[in-house]
Amino acid sequence: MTGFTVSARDIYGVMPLLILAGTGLVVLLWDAFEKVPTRTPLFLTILGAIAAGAAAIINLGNTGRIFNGMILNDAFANYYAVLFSVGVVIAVLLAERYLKEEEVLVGEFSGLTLFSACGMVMLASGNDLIITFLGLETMSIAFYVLAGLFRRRRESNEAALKYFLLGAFSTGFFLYGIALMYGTFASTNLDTISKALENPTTAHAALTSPMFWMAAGMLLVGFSFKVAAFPFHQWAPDVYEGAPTVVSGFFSTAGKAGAFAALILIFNIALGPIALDPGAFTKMQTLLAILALASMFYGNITALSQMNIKRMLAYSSVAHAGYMLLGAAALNKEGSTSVTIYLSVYTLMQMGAFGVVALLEKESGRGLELNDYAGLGRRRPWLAFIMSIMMLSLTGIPPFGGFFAKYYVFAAAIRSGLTVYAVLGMIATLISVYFYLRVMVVMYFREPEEGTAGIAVSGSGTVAVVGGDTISAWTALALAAIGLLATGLFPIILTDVAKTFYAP
Amino acid sequence: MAPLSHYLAVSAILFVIGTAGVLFRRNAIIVFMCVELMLNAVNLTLIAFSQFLGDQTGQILVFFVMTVAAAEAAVGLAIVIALFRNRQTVDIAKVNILKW
Amino acid sequence: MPLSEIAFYVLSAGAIIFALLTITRKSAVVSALMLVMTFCFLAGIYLTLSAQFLAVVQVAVYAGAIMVLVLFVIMLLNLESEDIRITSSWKSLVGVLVALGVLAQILAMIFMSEDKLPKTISASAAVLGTTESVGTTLYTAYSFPFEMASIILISAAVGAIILAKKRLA
Repeated sequence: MTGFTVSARDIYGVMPLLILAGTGLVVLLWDAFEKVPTRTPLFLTILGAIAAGAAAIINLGNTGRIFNGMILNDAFANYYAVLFSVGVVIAVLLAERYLKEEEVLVGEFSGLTLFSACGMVMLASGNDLIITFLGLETMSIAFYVLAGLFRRRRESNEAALKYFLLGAFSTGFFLYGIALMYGTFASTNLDTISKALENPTTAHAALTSPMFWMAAGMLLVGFSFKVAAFPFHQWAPDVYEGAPTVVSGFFSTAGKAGAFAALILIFNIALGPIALDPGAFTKMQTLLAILALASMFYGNITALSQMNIKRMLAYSSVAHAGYMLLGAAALNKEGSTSVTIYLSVYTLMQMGAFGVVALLEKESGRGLELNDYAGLGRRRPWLAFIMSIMMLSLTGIPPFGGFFAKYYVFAAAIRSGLTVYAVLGMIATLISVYFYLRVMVVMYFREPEEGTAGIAVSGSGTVAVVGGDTISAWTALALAAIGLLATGLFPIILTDVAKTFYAP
Repeated sequence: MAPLSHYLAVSAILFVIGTAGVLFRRNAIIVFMCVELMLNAVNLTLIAFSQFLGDQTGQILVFFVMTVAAAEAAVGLAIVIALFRNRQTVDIAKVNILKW
Repeated sequence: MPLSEIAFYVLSAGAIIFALLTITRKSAVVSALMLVMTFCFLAGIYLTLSAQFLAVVQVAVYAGAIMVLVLFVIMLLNLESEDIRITSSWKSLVGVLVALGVLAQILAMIFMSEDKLPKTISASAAVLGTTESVGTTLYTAYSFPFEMASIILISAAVGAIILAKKRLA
């Protein structure tokens, strides 16, 4: 116990985390002392997120563990830190005008967003189940508050309550899973667990013990809640619909990425040596693949009947969690790389879609029905164009990033012997074509009905538009769209990421 | 000294009682208390493992669980108060603008 | 049977009985008080495991701070008693059966793994449970998560204020 010191290397290693947390504090304080709300907290947040991203890029070449083996400081952890920073930047850019209408201070929103990003960074660099638990909770507690940010809106209150109660409930299962893992391996350190599984004697003892499988099951229950996968997805549509639109976008992208990063660290990397035991390996693969398939089919089929655009995106996010679970089910490095690629692209397209929805939303959450989008193609051609890119990419149609993301995930699944599941997954994708393209058909080929015409007319003065167009919102949308085009036209960007990522 | 499995069994019973409470009760505050009961049940498992394995990590984790539980209590009760101001109820069956 | 063993079974029975009372009482206040009792019995069980530090923290943080906050909110909102959600005996029967099924599964798991579990409490347990020992570990090996817990606490504090404050002027 004695002789433990913190070196400069440790501090540099967690620099992205420290910058995010520090910026969060500064932004909150700024808000508190500011007499008239200005845009300064917004700029500070963006600056902080960019600095954190830059620090993570500098750390990208590091290898090894810091803080007594508790924190990962390698390409994986730092790549995810960059991804979360991008998520924060896009969310804050989109949020600016949107929040002002509801009397929410920018600082409150940005501060909590930054704190939740700290939790995500901890999840992606947690090499100890204690860190994973703390990261999950840091992220979730900030999310509960963000969901209820519009505190005078009933829908927002309800979303917060549901998210909180179900989230805390799932935390119980997740923690039970950690406790049983600890009981099986006498350690919460992922390296120790991994080594125990490499040793034939201890591995046999663990894998034949029902306690190990109960632990894995409980952890999966906890994760499937956080990533909104079947069978613990029920909260997602309600929370996404009731929470502020920009916040929903952030939940369903960065939040999902954080939980998936931890899932990969535990199931693909720490429990990776399970592959030495073919029987146990197949068992674990099947467990994950069945959850994946159920999420894909359930999400896509339910999305077919949704007329509210936020609910539709919520069910589609359940399906996307399914695609990523299928990649994770490969239980090898190729699988985890494909999930990482998927998450990078998914963050751009889902945030972009929610961004467009936020711009078109009217006060008190109106203007969110599919019919409200009729005629958008003529009235707001650029917005309709961006939405089309997002929808095509979410479907997985080339030349957008979504196509290659799906390709890598299915390829990883097929190469690890999950061919049947991958084929069924592709069928699920075909179902999704219908509801994504329906949005485009409505935008370009349907005329607005009586009484819903307000939405597409900007500046008519009759209805207050909550979102409203601003340069910052357009910057975010343009970033997302360009990112999707770039990754779609030059998939080498993605494969390069993958290569540097797990360079042997 | 009672065997480890008995400690774990008591913990499992408390965990399931907490789970049942979450599923059966309608009062948001009682549901929250049942969640706390679940977390406490897990704490017992962790401490029992920690003392039988002779490894302190379990107790450290319990310390962090208590921290998190306190934070959750603050946020959860604030959410309940915000909801009560708008709806004058904490009954989750009546909280149904959105489909539950 | 040694005293500590008797104490464990008595405390466990107490904890389980009060936990059952917690989830079956109609009034939120009574439920909360029953939960306080459960937490106190749990603290007693921690003592039989010689985890003295956590036993004290359990009473101070859980039974003290958290439950006082809960009781405060219940009384602030002046809640009426609810009817338990069970609407039909058919539904409750299914619910109870599911709960018992899950319990049976977990218990089976515990007793099937029993041969792989340590048989006796570790010789160092009495030392591991002291405040000194927990504190030393917490401030050395686990100093990083300890610091990071402050992010959770500050976002909870800020979040609670944001959610519960009155509208802006």
